[in-house]
Amino acid sequence: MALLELTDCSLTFGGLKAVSAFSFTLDAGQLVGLIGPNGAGKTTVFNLITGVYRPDRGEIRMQGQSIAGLPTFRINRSGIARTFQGIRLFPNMSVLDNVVVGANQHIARAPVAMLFRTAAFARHNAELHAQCMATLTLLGLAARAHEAAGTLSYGEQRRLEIARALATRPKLLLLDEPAAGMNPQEKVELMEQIRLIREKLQLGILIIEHDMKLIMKMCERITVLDHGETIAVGKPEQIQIDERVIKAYLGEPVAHDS
Amino acid sequence: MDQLLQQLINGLAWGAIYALIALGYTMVYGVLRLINFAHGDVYMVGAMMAYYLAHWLGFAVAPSTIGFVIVLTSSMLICGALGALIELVAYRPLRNRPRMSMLITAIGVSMLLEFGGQRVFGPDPKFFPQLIESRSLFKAGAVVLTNIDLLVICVSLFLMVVLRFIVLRTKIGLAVRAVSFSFETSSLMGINVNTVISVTFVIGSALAAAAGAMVGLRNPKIEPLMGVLPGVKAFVAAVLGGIGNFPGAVVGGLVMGVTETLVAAYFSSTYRDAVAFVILIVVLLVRPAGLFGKVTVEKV
Repeated sequence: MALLELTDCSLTFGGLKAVSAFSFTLDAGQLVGLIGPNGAGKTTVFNLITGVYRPDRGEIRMQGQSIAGLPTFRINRSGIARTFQGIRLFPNMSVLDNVVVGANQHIARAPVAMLFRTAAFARHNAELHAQCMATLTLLGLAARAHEAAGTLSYGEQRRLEIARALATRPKLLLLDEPAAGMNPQEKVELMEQIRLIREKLQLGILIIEHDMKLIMKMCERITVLDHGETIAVGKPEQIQIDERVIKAYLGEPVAHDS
Repeated sequence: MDQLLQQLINGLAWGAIYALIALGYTMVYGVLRLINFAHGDVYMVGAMMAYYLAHWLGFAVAPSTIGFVIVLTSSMLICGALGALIELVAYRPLRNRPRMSMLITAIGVSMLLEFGGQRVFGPDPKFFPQLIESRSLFKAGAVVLTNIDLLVICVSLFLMVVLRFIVLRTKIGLAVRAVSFSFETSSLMGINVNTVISVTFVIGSALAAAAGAMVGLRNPKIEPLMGVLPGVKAFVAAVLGGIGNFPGAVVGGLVMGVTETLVAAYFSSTYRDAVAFVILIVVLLVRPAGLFGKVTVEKV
């Protein structure tokens, strides 16, 4: 059974077809890229999957369960976490607290234990913090755990978004332009970190990115959108030579270096 | 000198009451960006509930400290539920509408409680039973510290410490802070925003109820419109401290209480109620973001 399955999803805003008849599957442990020119509907697909928008038509299934139309926090709890194209951290909280918010629904609901600070509660809390620190270490942010999130550099904030998403213990991670605004060195580190996360946590990852070098290197499969329509699906080497993709997006038949 | 000290004690007791109400304004503003004009009336309901509970449970005829504690906590629970109900019925359906709709509804809820209160409780003032007998704990010259003043200040302080603990150290507190930054992001991180907002109303309303029940001990005359003026003043206190800011609400409340009592003592009690508005105007002119508020500079 596929981890995520979208069948024939469509969404229109007024007269504009944002996404039309989009079908897509992703299996556990797969890393798939979603590319296309600006305004092609990539982020809209993320918004459909995470429940920000509800599809006009079509079906979205997570591990066989229909999730279209559920409130966003339920979809998150079903195992889907995301990052945002524009950074949306909680800037006044510490880096660690941002991750703890992500882990929020895994904190035991025991108000009595909390009030009386029982040993079990303390142990549980220590465990939670250790897990959150481990997640931060994975993204190379452990040293900055107690700084305010708003003071981090742009690249660090992007990585913190990934850490926060991971803290919700997803089975599927959606990354919306994780490398945007990063310098080449940071991009190399990010690729290594994503690879590590995937190996360690065995998640499915769907990634939107304009950096073609990164996409072509990392993804097993790529879906290309243009004007809300799927114009190509295939392995990186197939996508690179696909006539329609070159015309709509890549521009030239050599691997694009941005 | 004696008079000054005495007025400071009175001012602090009133200030603690304002601070408790102001915290509710600030909490709700933090998550919903709404000035909950009905909040002062929840304080009135808190006093009324304490009055009826004291009579029903028999503490009015047999006063005791434990009786007061029971009355106080029950009134807080009832008003907490009332706050959640108000949010559910009046504000939740309007959450995605223009903010003005919610604000006008808040005024409507306020009037409903005031005039509904006159219908249900009767428009005539009631006399709050003396649940704890007033006696002086401390006397130096003409300065008297009564046990009631001390109780009001200590209970308020205790509730503020509990609130601080909840906001900074618990799961729900973290969720409240996340939600006050962004509904959508919080929800995408698995936080149930509706629950968090309900809890905010429960806590804020319970604090107002505590203020209402304690005011009954100091100023036993209670009536359905008693929440109007303290509500406005606590709102000013919240703005003075920087709305959305918790320590700001407490400091604002204390400043409001003390200033008001001093004005009444040294100038004229006629100007007592005007002070709040003078403070509001001055704050808005000099520090629009309040004492503790951050001035945000828009980046271009």
